[in-house]
Amino acid sequence: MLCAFYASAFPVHGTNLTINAGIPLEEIRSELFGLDLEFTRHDVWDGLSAEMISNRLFAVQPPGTAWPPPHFPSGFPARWNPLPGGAPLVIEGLSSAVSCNLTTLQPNCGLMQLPVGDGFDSGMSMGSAIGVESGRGYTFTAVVRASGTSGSGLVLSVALEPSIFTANLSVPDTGVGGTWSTVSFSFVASSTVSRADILSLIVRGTQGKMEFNATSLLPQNNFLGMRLDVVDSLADLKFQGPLRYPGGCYAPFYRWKDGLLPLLARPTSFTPPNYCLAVAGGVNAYSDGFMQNGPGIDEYMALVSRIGATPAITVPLQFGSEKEITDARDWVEYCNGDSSDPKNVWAALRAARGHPEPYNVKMWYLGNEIAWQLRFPDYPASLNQSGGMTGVEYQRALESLIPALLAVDPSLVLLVVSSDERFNAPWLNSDVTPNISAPALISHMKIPMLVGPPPLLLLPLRKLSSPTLPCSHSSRAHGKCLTQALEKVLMYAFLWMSGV
Amino acid sequence: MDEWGLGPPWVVKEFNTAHALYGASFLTMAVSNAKDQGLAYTNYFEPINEGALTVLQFSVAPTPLGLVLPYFGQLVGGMRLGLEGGSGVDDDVVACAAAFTSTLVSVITNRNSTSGYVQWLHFDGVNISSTATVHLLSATGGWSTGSFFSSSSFSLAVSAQGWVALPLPPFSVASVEVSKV
Repeated sequence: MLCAFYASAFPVHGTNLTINAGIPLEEIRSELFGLDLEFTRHDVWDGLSAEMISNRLFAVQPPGTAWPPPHFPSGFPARWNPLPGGAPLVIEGLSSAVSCNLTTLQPNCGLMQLPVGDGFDSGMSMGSAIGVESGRGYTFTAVVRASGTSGSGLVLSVALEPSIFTANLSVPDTGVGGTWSTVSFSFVASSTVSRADILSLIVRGTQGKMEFNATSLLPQNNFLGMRLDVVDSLADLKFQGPLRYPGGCYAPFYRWKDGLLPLLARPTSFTPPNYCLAVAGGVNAYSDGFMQNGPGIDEYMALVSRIGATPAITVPLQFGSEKEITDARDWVEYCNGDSSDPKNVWAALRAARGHPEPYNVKMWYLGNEIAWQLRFPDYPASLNQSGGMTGVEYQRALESLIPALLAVDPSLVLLVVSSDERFNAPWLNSDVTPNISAPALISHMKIPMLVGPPPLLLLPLRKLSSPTLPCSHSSRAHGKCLTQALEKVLMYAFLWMSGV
Repeated sequence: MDEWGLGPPWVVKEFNTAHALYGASFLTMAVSNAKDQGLAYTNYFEPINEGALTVLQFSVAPTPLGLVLPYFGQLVGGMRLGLEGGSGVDDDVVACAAAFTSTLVSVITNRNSTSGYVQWLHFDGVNISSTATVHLLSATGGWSTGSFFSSSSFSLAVSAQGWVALPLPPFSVASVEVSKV
């Protein structure tokens, strides 16, 4: 439909816009349009994750942490409650270490999960309610181990009420310290329930020990553990630039090699209290103090491929330790190494896992906000902490890390964390600088809440479009200059909107 | 440029058209200044439940910003085109444009929340088709909490001299595509 008539609804704008189509300039690159995947609130591990059971690894907050919130008891797996009247539950360790012993006097034991908040997002609302949709298929899985049963094994009775499903799953006796058993049950929901009353895992038998390792409830049409609808919506954004993984504040605590284990065997990742202190409690305010170790590198690469993005990985780097550098180097080899070279054991592993061709991940962040964030060298074993890296420490770390990575793949695009002048000066003036592709500017600017009358909003918006920013193109730190210019604009916006 | 966003993400609970207009302005600036400022990349912190996609228990839907992002994503691979007056026409209207093999695509944003305009566009230097295809996001409910975009698509006539009269309602983002002939 031609709707030239529509144009008359508004006054003519005072300035014509001429598009010089005869003189094409530079290519608009996909890297300009990237996205972050962060572990906070509802995203990778909640909004993106298809997992419906909170704390599926029965993790317990480390002693002495400032969390948990009051709705689950300290020293017990968060979001779980013991079965009333059942045999006592024994907690050993911080993750996947719940067990109980049945006797003739106490022939059952178990755990229950009750809904908290609005459900399906372990976010600041503390939601953990489980919901199912009518006609949709789901699979419940548990990894458990039975022993001391006189050979008959034990029965795990699983129920999601009201009347969503019940199942009795036989768990064979594999002896003390024997193999774990994976038991599962699939069902199609007969009605839509947004807030189930209770999920119960009840052990029944005459005697013996049951150990709980992991559990899961997933819709069957998930994408490698991720919600298919969310994945497709990410693709619809059509941002093909870097999809940063495994996050910012989560990156220091992510162990990529754990992500090669089967999903239910990946250990819990613990996040220390008051880390990334943008909100009281830090990340633990919306993580319960631990993460469930979701998409591993292979799932992430599948996600990147499906949505058409560019992979960009943040390596853990807080101390510049030999382990950090080795792990980062191994990660690069896993992603980019030639699997036919017998020296490349990590590339060979990638090939053995069904990916013979290199992933060719070019963009690598060397740490995240390391000048700002506390460091916990022994967490969760210890709450000992120190301040962020100094520029000199970072320079030394880069001097070890960068050659190690480039030895694996000289074509990497290395993104270095920048901060203030004092932090930047050592590494910016060192021998590592020529190998740095771009500073990963960590101003991490977020415009304040956009509230206020329109003129107050529009003023800062105008400033953002200024074609001439006060930065020198020849400046070595031109990126930082750009950031500072924008920060000034945003600060101006904030002050203006605040009425200052 | 790592982690540009609409935060503080732990404070902002609802993402409305004001956020989307900020995003459109930022991305216009990024496209227009990338080469001169050495801006190698940007990434948005973060799409899921913090600005671009609202994920609920059984559903997922784009926010106003989530509707805007594809308008800019479609420019990838094109050759940036210069605009008379730089990236912005003036304080209210900003734009960026790209040339592809057979099409020209422009993204034009009206940041004025109370005044709409007819924006005259002139495609200079190439011959173009007689119609332009427009996809328009236009704010409903203004710029405040709960405001959202209505979307529409329509065609506009292109004059023989390459002029198009583009209606830009208050707080709107338009994608204008013309074919080279």
